[in-house]
Amino acid sequence: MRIGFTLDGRDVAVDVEPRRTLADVLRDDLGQTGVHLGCEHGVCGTCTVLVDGEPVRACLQLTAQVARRHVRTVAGLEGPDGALDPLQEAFSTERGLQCGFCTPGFLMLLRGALDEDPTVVDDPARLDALLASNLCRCTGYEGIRNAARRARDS
Amino acid sequence: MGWGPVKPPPFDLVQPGTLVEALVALDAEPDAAVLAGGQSLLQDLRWRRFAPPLVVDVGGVAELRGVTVDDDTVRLGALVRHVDLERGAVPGPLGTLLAETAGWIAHPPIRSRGTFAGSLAWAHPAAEWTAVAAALDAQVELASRAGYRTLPAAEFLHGPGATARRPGELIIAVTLPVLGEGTATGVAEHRRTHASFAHVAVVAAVDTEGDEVVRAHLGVAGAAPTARRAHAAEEALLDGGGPAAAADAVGEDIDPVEHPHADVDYTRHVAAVLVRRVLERLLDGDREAA
Amino acid sequence: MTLARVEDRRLVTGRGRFVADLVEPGCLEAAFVRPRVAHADLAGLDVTVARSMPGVHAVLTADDLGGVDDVPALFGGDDLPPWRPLVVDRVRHAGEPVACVVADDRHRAEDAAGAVVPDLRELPGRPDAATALAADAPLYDGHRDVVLDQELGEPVAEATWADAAVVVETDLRQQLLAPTSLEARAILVRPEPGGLTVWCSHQYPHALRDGLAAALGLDTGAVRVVVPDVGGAFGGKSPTFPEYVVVAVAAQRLRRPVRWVEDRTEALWAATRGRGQAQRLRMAADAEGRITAIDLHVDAAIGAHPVGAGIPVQTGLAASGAYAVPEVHARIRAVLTTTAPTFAYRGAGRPEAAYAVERGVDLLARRLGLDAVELRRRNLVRDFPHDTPTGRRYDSGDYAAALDRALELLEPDTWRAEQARRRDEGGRPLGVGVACYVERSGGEPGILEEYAVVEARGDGGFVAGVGTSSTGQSHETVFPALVAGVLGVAPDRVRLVEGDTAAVPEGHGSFASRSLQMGGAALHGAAGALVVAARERAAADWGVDVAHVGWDGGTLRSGERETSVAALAPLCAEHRFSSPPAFPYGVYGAVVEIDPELGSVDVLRLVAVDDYGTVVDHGVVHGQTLGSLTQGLGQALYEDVPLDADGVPRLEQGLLDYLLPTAAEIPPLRLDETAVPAPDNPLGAKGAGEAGCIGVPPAVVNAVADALDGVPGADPSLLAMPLTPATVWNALWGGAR
Repeated sequence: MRIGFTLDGRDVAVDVEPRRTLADVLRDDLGQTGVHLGCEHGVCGTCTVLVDGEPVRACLQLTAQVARRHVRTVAGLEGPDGALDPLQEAFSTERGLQCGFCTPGFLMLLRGALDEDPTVVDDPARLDALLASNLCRCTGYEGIRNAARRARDS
Repeated sequence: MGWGPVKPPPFDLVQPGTLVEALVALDAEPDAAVLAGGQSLLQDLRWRRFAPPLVVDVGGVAELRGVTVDDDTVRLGALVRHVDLERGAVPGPLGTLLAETAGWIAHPPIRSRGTFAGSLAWAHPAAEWTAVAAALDAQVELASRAGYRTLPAAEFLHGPGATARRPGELIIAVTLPVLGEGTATGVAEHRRTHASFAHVAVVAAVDTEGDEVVRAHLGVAGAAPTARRAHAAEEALLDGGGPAAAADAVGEDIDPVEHPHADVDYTRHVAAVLVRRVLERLLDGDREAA
Repeated sequence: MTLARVEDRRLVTGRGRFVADLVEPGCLEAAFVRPRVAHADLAGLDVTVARSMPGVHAVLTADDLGGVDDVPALFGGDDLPPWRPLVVDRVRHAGEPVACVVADDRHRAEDAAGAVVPDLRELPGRPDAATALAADAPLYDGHRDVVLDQELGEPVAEATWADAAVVVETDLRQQLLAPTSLEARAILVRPEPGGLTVWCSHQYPHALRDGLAAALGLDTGAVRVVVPDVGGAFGGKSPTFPEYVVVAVAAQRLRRPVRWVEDRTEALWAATRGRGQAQRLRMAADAEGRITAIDLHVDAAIGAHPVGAGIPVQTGLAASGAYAVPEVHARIRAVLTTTAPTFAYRGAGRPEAAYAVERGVDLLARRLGLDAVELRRRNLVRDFPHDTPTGRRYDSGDYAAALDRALELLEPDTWRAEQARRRDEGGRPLGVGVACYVERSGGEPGILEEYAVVEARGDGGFVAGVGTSSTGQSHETVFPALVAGVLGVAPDRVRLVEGDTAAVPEGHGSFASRSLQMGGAALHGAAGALVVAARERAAADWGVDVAHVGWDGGTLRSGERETSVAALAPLCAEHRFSSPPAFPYGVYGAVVEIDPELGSVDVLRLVAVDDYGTVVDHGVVHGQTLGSLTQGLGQALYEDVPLDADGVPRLEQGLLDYLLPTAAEIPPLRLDETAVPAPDNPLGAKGAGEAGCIGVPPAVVNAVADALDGVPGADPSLLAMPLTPATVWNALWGGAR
């Protein structure tokens, strides 16, 4: 079936089998391999993208569900001039990544949350409850937590 | 049997724009699956636990949206999401209970897509919404081409993944009773990590006059094949036994199954502790407020 | 020093390239057929429907692999059963592949995999070593079930037990853990004329090259293995897996690139796991609290294929812990079970030893009425090198200093006072636990060497090649800086080449915490050798004695003469570094509070003091501590592969059942390091990758046992990892409820 939506600010259209998930279509049809697949059952969060500004699991969405919506991926975080989003800078500065596989998902989770309510990072319990949405197996989360706070301040 | 698939099997997909279109589509294919938020459906499709020939995406059906509040009831359209309730879509003590409960469900990216009605349709034994539905005798509104019917939660929820929904039927809304302004509500949940399902979840709504409990709604998820209203525990409470007596009595209400990390005795014990704790919180809080 | 990471730009922008991301024209995708039975005869396998399905290019079964050799054994023993890439006639663990479908895409591959019909006749399973040892017939006809039975050290003299003031004895269990790198296994194989190019998410590319070449009967030179970005490994990505052999065969036969990306269910069900030991520990001490003997018997459930049979030997080698103990003996048995192979997982044999010894020390202290910290202090190794009775030579350290620092951070006196107050006045049980550890880094004979090459290029840059292979440890940042430091040039003039067997001819990969210790030392040597080679070349060109040629940041000078090293290009120098292993050590502490009604454990403080020798990049090392301690916390409290009576995992909901710690599970941390340089390493470096996995579990379990000590009727011997609420609750009530 033919499905149109907005991807990182540009209109796209794909012709795909109904069973194809948003994650697969972003990766395979639209080349957005920054959307990672770590579990494909909604737990790990590496595939997290923003749909109309809200963080969602791209692995648990059929592509048809985002028809006419706005999808934002890690590739859409950079400015048109290639400038990094403050979150991207902060993840590097704070050692919020090691292998980097979970990073795009955490970036989108936090981008969505900070856009909705930047104070979420001020309360450690709220921040941890938010970060508990996604899994990281390398960093012990300390750098991710610090990156979230740093990005809010910048 | 079995192997390890991760991509959904092939199916047709329709995206009806109206309720009638949705019901016609469901009527034409008795084995169709309904897609609302998809947070459970997609998991099961990926693992190919079933292979529906048709998926009916009801996300575009306007009639299923929104919350309707009247004097006695709150009607949650089938597309009301966890996050809507978390953000306070429902006023009053019922809204407080729904918001607190929503905060226990999975995590924000799931809550932004999963729906209250979908959770009931999936009937996971430990799903928080099923405990709410059981506790408050939620009325599940089902529609099909043949007509409408409404079932109380206790008749709708059958067991793990099993409900009274018939082929061709769609949950269009779930209706909950408005709770009085003085109703104290609370949730107690036990889980192993922030990423795990509830082991046991207890929801409570209690009205008191003085020290006397005059009305009680208790629902327990995770301690039986499906969530149950804890009638025996409520009786104990109404009889003046207090939280401890309710905790003792809840054993009659539940029927745990063994889990790899929790035997039946432990689960029974956890249910009792959670019942006592949530009631102590509500009743002590009540006294403090008084 | 903490450097800005060179890797980060691509990884934070989604431009990292993991195997699943590679674009290879015409690439087909593979899916495996994996019965969910632990043990069954495969009486038949019907693939006719699957072969006819749309988009399907091949369905491979054991019948198609006649010319293919066995899966190469990493563990060299005699009498090892054959490991065929696909099941021939008997499934021996749940998820063992019986067929492989290759199709246009993964969806179609799975459609056809579902149409493959195996005829399975179920047999009783052997989920653990005890069940396997009691089985009537061997798992493989004509092969012993006990694939390894090794004793380390001399048996403890009967008189030692008899003369001891106290002897403690306990059974301990090491649960099975799934390494669970967020990127699971992945491989892409492109056939080449006479050979293969392989992209693989792997820790040991040169071994994979050799393994695939051996299995397929190719020259090693015909196989090129490239490791792109890797999404974590933790020990689970070193072998030549059967799936990799099958994918390579498929690519050869179809003359098309073929990729397999393991999904999470496969990773949890069928990939290698760590730990999996049943232990019997006996320890003795005299009245002054000096440990006189340790005897450790390990029965390791090694799974259906003994690829990891050497791992439990590590447990025996480490059976002395951090202590000078006159008599230490270990007997290690590796037993075939109907479970997925047990192999390396972060720590690989050392966490199992530290857990046993440190639980034993606490039991001794309790029996002697001594403070457990004081008992540890009395027994710490103080003179180096120290030879242990089971065959280790501890190289260096100041174990007591690490203990002192850990106690400063833990503040046990404060917590003990609170503990006493609660025991008097009521309150949630609170416990304090400490654990010391010594581990081994760098590897074992055969891999205690590493290759590096540094080349000066005509453009003024340098290329550094090394045989390690990053799986997230910042090699692109640290290694060029290290080389640049030796050369006296800016780090951005040095480019790292790694993880490509065509670019680096030999190497031993990254595991056993060996990257900096072995690879860094090799690069250090190669960079120094390049300076020497450059000076020699200039001396020859100028006709002067090499002693009169100086090197200054890439410029060579002798008197008035001066040239850039770039002018001498091509110029390169190799170095093969070898050394004995190093012995990182440390002390961990935990304070826990228990919900006495639910059994939930709340860690109030976690302390780690590690000695990794001389630290090159503090940010990297700190990150390794954080990551490994989080995984240690996972073993202590959350992670487990529960099995049914036959050995089938009970993980129906994937990562909703196999629980990894989230951000909200991380307790308040207090971390520090001491830094006693490794004497056998030119950088002074010891491995830093695995400490937290070793130190956290015994510290946390000791703390919970300590908390239970104050609860009447509680039985700490009922504690077993993971400390689920149900387990702790059961121990709280002494098993009586």
